[in-house]
Amino acid sequence: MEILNIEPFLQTPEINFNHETGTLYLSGKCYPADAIEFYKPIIDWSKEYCQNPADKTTLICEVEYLNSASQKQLVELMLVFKPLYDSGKKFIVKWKYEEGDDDILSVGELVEHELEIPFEYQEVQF
Amino acid sequence: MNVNSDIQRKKETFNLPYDEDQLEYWGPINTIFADSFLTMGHTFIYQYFNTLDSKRLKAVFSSLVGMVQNMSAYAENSYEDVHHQVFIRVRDGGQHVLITTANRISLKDKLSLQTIFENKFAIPEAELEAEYRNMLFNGGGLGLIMLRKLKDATLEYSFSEKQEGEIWLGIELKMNYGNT
Repeated sequence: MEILNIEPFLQTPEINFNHETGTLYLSGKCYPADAIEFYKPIIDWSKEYCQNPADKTTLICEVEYLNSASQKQLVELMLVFKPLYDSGKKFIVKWKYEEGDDDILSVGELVEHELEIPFEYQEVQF
Repeated sequence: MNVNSDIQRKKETFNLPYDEDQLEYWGPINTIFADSFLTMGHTFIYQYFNTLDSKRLKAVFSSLVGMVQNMSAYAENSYEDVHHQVFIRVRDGGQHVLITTANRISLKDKLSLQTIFENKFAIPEAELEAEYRNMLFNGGGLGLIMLRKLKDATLEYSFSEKQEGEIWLGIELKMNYGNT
């Protein structure tokens, strides 16, 4: 397994998922025209990672913009990690959102509530 | 030649209205163009409406993203040649931002699209959050619900037939400036 590294582009975030440290970092604008295509390698990598995860997994989502299709794909991504958390492994989502951006905050709160996985929230400046 | 007067001259050739201080596009669309247009749209919105607070700016831009990407997705997924003509305009309405889009749709899609719009617009405001949650976790398009959920905004749509068999779906989103 290799580190998943995707450079940010105009409408897509930076991705740095490290299987050795368990730190999975997603940061930036998320409004690709084809969200399914963009998230597919990320979800595939995550499924493989969950077969042999690090002791502790931290998914850091630092989201500036989120289009509707990306919201759905983020839910798909979180669903990959739910069995990991349910099986007793250490897992947390660090949900970072722009100061005052209640919309992005509420997406995180909704996913936390529906999927019953732990979230930690932090306001940041982009 | 001055860029503005050049554009004005071209628009007059086609009897199109000319207004300054607005972002406007009229022509074909695909994903690549939509990506470029949205990058330009981001710059326009953040420079022109710079007195709005960052939350409102983000809502304006996110709405434009949804509206433009819906049209480009339709154009790319439509098997019928409808020339994929679209109209996009972002302008300052004084106390509100006005985003207007129109895209040509095929006759066979009219009924299904009309049903989707009628159903989504029939949802009472108090039930929009529940519908959004349902769509997010159980499948279905979120775009229209997200536009309807916007605070201090009105959303209208219309289907019109300009010529026989030439059907256009028009959407207008009016977003009040809010707290600045």
